[in-house]
Amino acid sequence: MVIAIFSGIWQLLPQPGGDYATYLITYVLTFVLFVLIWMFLGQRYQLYMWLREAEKATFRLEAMAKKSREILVSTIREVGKPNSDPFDEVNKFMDFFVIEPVERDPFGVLKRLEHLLDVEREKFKDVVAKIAPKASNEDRANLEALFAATHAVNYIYKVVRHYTILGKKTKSMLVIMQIVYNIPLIMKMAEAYFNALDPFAKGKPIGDSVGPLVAAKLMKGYPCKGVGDEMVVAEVPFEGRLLVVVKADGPGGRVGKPGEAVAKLAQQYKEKLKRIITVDAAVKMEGENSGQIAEGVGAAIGDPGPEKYKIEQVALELGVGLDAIIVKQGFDEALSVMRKEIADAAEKAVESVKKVVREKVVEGGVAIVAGIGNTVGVGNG
Amino acid sequence: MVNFVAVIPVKGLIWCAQGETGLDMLMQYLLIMLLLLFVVSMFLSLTRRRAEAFAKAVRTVTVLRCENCDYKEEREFQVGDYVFKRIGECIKCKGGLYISMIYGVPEKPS
Ligand SMILES: [Zn+2]
Repeated sequence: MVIAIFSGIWQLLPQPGGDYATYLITYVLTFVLFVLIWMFLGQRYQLYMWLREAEKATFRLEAMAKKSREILVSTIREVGKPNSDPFDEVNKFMDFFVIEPVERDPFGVLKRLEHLLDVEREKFKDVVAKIAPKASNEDRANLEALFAATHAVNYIYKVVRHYTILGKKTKSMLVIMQIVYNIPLIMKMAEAYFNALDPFAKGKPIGDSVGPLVAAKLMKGYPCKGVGDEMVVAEVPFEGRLLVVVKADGPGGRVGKPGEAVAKLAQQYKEKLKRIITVDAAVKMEGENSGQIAEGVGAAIGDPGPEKYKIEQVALELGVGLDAIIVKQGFDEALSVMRKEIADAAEKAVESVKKVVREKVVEGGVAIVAGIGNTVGVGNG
Repeated sequence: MVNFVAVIPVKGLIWCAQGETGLDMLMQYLLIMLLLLFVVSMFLSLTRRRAEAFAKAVRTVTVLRCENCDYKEEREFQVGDYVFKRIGECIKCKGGLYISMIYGVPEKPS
């Protein structure tokens, strides 16, 4: 095959014994031509290739965004039995946004952020109540989460489309390069959110549910009651100590306000409280195993700030130690159906909690154990 | 398409063999075929990528356990299942049956 190509090209060159000057001129001209092409068209070609890649990603994301809306609408139709077609309402909601609070004057920024997050949550609830009036409470919680995931996929699509079109218009290397070099990571993220649609639509536990799952395992067999903000609590006696276990109210896709609940309970049990233990899923580093458990100190909670702040604040105020137990997993695993490794890790995390309690809490003492995360598909034990 | 792929090479080969400068023509013919092969394989790889789904196929398994004995059962996930949901009775000891685990396994490409 190789010979075939070269023999063909050989025919084009002057044969040995021919005019040597012509040969030399042809050679030099060809060389110059290639240099010129490389100089003037190289960048153009690069730009063209990048644009093609960005366009391909945009098409793929467009398909994803469309499909995600379809899944959302069909789920609403199934569980909500709406009177009117929810499609327009869903499309309208895809433009929903939250403006972050001013940080230039940081005083009270967390209070303001929390307020905004509350309002956002309310907005999600209102929309779901409006378009799926007949859904049960658990289904509504799942629909809210489904809305959020669909919104995320659509938002990513819009951002990529924006930069692709902007790049095409301006022909700016800077604009296109930014988007193209980020595409592999962006696609991973979009796929992760897309894969979250199925569990939220059907109520399956996701990787992030491991925190509430650990709490539910501890709670099992003990009565639990609500503590407000979509959180539930159970008092679990354990080897002479008392565990106050908190999680979001399941099995709907709720996150609740764990910081608020922990702060409230810490004040309630403050005489005997010795430890606050938070259990959460955490993003692993590449190379680490999924389902690996790590122990540390601090508040293991990945919220935008307010809830974490409340736990840290109450721990400081009461002088109680903060222990964190994390179950490592990939970002994509945290949002898709819980994998077996992670489900198995929940049992090990329970043992870790017990170990910490044995070591750090004297008999007769109280420890608050908070399972942080979305409790979709996980009941209250 | 099939016609195109099957007939052209055969016809071409015969045409080359009959030509006067047989070997040269054969070389050029091979070169063209190589290019064609390249284009076709590019086309195929592109279409294949387009057909590939972006959602990971997973099978979701629900594990049922008995409160009293060590009875354990696995079945496909059904809508409405959630971890720690009470589901009827154990067939061995009539104890309470509950969902102890729900997890996804990547579907093997069939
Ligand atoms: Zn049994």
